[in-house]
Amino acid sequence: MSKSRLFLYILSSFIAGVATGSFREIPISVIWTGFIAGLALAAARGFKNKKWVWGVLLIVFFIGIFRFEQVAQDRPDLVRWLGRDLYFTGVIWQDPDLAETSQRLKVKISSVGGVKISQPFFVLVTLRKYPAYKFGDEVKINGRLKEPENYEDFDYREYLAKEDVFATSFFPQAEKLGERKGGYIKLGLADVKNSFENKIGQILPEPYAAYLKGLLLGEKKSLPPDLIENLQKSGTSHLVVLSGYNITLVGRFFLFLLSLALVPFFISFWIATSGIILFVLATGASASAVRAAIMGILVLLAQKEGRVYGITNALVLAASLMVWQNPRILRFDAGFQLSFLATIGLVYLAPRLENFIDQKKNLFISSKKSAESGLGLKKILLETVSAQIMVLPLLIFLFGRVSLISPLTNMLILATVPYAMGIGFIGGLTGFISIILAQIIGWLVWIILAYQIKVVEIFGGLPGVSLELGRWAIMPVIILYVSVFVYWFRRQR
Amino acid sequence: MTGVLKKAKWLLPIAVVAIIWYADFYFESRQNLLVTFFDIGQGDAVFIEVPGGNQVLIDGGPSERILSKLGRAMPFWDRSLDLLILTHPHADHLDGLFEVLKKYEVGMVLESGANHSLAEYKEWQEMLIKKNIHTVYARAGQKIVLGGGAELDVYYPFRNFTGESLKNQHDANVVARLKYGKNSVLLTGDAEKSAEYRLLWEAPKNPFFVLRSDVLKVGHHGSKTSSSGDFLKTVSPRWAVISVGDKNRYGHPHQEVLDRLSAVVSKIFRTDIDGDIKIESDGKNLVLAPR
Repeated sequence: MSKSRLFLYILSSFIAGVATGSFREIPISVIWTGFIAGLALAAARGFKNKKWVWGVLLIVFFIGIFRFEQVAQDRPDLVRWLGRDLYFTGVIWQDPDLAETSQRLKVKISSVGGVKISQPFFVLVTLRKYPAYKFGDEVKINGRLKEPENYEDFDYREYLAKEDVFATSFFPQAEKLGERKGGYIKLGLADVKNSFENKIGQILPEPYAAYLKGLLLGEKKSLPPDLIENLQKSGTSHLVVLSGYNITLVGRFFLFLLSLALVPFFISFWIATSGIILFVLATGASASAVRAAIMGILVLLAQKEGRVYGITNALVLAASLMVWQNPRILRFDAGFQLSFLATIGLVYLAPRLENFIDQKKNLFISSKKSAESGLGLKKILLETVSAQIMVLPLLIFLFGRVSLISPLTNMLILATVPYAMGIGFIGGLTGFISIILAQIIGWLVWIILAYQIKVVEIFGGLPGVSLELGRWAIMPVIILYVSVFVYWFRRQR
Repeated sequence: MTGVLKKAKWLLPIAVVAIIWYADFYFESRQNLLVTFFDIGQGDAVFIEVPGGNQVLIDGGPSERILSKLGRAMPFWDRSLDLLILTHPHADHLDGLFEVLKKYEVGMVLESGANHSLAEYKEWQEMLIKKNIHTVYARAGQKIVLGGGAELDVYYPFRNFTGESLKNQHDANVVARLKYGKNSVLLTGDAEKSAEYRLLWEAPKNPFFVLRSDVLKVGHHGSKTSSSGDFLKTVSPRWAVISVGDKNRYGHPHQEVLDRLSAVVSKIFRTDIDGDIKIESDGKNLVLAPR
């Protein structure tokens, strides 16, 4: 076995361990037994014929379980405060999550009933939408703490737990004590993000501005509900989720611009990567944005190298580090799952599909030039279809809904998405220099966005385009995937 | 660079044609008066465009959904409103206006000025001061010339409520009647029966108050606290519009109001069923404009 294979197996076994831990609570005694069994296996197999690998994999597997349990058990003890009317003071820890008529604030509580506490904890506070609070505000909250409750078909507790939130408070009395508390770096990044969003709001009317924010930042909150529904029905809601794919498209747009200026690919790749980093900073560098950016850069790298095999380890390493940092995302963060699956689709499936289509020539008009610039219709279509195929089971699982018209709408829209994202991003940045210039760029983007929204509405509005299936539908899809995978694997041998 | 030019070759004519079409549609629709009752959930938001292009927004609904509605009703370069009317500062009329103030340049605000103990109204006043927007307090008898031949007459409230704290905010609710040629729309906000009877009492004494109207925006989302039979008979509208949210928790519109309405009007429009309701007038005839 080669070293790189070994590396891959070790990482995979860690992820498998975290997955096991996140589905079942494993007692510490079992974990210790696992470690010892692993050690014994490694020793017994001897060092010569490399069979000791099995022992190592077993140990790493249990490290994965251990890591999950360690994080899962590291929760603040709130029992003495739950269900009691108290007053708390704390600092709003991230940008408020805005719903139609309310705002949700993640508040880091540092004192309860006027007494400073040794272990600060997070509370998710729901308030009326106005007066509006901001990230960094210090607030005094007078109300009751509750443990989060699960919905019928949604594990809300775990969803909040992955954000380190173990208590909520609904419509307490709140009062602002101060502003701009918390780390300067985080405050600075939030400022950048907010002013970027403001610029977009200035150069575009709604709902176009909200939709562009969805494309660029994965910010779905300000989208009007009917548009969200049409996006789902027409099978295009993946556009407004911040994923590695969106980031890849932004990177690709930079590559395209640079290729026009005849910059060599080697240099333009690094400029594009810096562009992505700038983009992540401009969007506030949230954990999910950073994860998406890492995935996006890896895809660009894979395409730069022109071979996908080398990238596997990097991808799995990135995923492992993310999972190590917060093991809960593996099971409970849809953004991470979508991002990872879509990336797999882009890196592994897309080139194979491309080969397949090239073999059956003239199925599509292939244009070499546009393929080079990386914004060709064919390439984008192939990539989207690949990403979509990979995320389909997850989407069924998450929403229980399948859009039958999805291939058509995606075909009509996707080729224009990188332009909308790229020009929109540049428009937002230009807003910092000259709002008039940005306005003109805004009109340009408006044409593209208006076209996309029109398509989404026309196809989303057709009757019967989307099937409510329920979650059972995931089973046949998975069976189909496994059989295709097995068939492929056999044939390659 | 040639690649780009190649693409631009087909992109450019399409863009030009699209822009000409857009402009044509847009200016064609500007010949007439347009009144749109937005479907913004449980709340009120009425948008008026008069010939010549002046724009009025009456209330903003409960959320930022108003922005998407405005963004589509107005041309994409337009970021200003000439007149903003707040009938009364309840959240289902006020909250959307915060976003409107943030995004749009507002020429003038008309409101009753009644104090509201809620934090929202305080924020509203602070924003008006910060943005330095000229604010006029509504009094019955005011006439606002909107241009293009359209006028807005203020019918309620009858006295100055500035700074007063009310138990029932609806007591200071702004009522106005929009006139264009032979057509008229009575815009009631959340006016309750007490306001309706006051108007019924004033109307015969003062020729300024003409209650008969072609279209009635039904008071208070079709609640039974409004739309008395006497008032409906006197207004005797052809069309009635109820601005109401789907499955709202107040049970609006109430069945008895619907019954009273159907005895008088020929058609009841509801934003929860019909979506946005857009009415067009050339000064002589009213038509329901396609959305």
